Amino acid sequence: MTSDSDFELRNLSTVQCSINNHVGLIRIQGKDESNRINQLMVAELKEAISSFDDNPTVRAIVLSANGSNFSYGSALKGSYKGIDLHSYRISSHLANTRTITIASLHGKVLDQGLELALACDIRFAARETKFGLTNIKSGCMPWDGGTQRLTRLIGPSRALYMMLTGVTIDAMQALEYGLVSDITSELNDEELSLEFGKTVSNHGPIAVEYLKEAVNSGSDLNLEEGMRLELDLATLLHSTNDRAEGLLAFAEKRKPEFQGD
Amino acid sequence: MTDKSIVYSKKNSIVSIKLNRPESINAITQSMRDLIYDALMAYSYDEEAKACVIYGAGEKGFCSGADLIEFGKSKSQAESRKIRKQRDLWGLLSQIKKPLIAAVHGYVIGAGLEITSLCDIRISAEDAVFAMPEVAHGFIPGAGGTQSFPRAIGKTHAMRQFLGDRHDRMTAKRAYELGLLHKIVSYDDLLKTAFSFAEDISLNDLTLLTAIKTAAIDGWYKPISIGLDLENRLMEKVKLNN
Repeated sequence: MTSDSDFELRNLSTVQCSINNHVGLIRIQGKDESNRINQLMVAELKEAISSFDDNPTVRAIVLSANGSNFSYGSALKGSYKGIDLHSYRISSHLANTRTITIASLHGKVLDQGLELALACDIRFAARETKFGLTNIKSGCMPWDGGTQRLTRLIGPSRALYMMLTGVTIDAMQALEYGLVSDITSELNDEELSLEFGKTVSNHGPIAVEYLKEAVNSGSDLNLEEGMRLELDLATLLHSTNDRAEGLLAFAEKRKPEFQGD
Repeated sequence: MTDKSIVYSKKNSIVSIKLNRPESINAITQSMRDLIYDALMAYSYDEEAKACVIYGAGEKGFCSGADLIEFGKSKSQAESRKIRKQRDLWGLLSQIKKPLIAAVHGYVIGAGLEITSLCDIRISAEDAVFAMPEVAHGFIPGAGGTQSFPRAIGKTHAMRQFLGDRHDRMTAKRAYELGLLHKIVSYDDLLKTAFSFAEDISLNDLTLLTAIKTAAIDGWYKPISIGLDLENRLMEKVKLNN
């Protein structure tokens, strides 16, 4: 087991990392309240995400932010001419993790900030959260996966409305659009996300990983191919001790204890 | 035939499949799977049949999922895969090009929700509760749920349901808001409503019904040019019939 004490990510300056009850928490910490994402933050975020994703004790990752806003977007300003955006992109790195990722959102979630959230598996938001891909207002377009992920998540009609007008929408609307999975009531967004992360960490770890693969890879396939993928993954799970434990626990009417094997 | 775990009936051009193990909330056993497979084959080859209503016997619910007790006595990987490929019920359910109507109530859990998600029209009683608790039990949905459920309600909400607590259930009202259900009625009106949809549908020509479903399902998740091409070809066939 990795404990917080031998955790090597303590010294990053733009992200704070901790692990508690199998849930890895990453908080982004920008220079000011706008929590803008600069090149250093991109590099450190990648490191933090990879480190958690490679750590078998981490069964869910919560991506949150310090301060009153999740993020206004990239720190890049003005013209993009001559800038290699490769080192500023982060969303695919996040989307390709085996671990379930949960975005914990509050305040402004704009541009690349929203693109980060879109790359997560689950999104929870505080009631007053505002969402937008406002790039068009500065003569630009989303460049960290937004045109693809937003369109797939909420459909081209709503996605184009957001991207062509640069409008910001509120949490209730985001919930209706299927952009967020839930909005907070009594808990704040981070508490809700951590609690959900804990729930995820109680599930069979291999099953969770295969579920993510089936859903994400399957959404690029037609239904027939997707069904085949699910069948193969479900059959692969037959050999796991976790599945046997799950069935035994069900028969014995108790909570299962999964080892991830 | 002594096994009455499903009942297949036919009246004129409407068929129905009743899941009939109310003592265990219609939990799906291997033998039920085979019987449903046969029933769906009968439906798909019956040139007179134009709509199929699937519902569950008993007041407790539509279907509580796979029979996990039987599920536990599983065969080897290779054996299970072979069985599944020989009589791939869920593949068949997803590929049938005739209308399927789910009429659900009470518990609609796991495979019960997966069957519902693969139906084209979904009517629910007010009391229905929905859940997909497989990963909490250490496995994944295996009746197409990882594919059909996100397509029905969107990935954001589907992932939430897949990964939530095993006691985390969705009400009929919520399922309706998320687009899973097309209509909520009282339990007493459930079958009447479902069969009345079936009646309306069955007034149409079978070629037309099949063409619409084929275009929508086979064209889905393909480049739109291929989907439009499919639509054109199917429309030519429909034209010859009217």
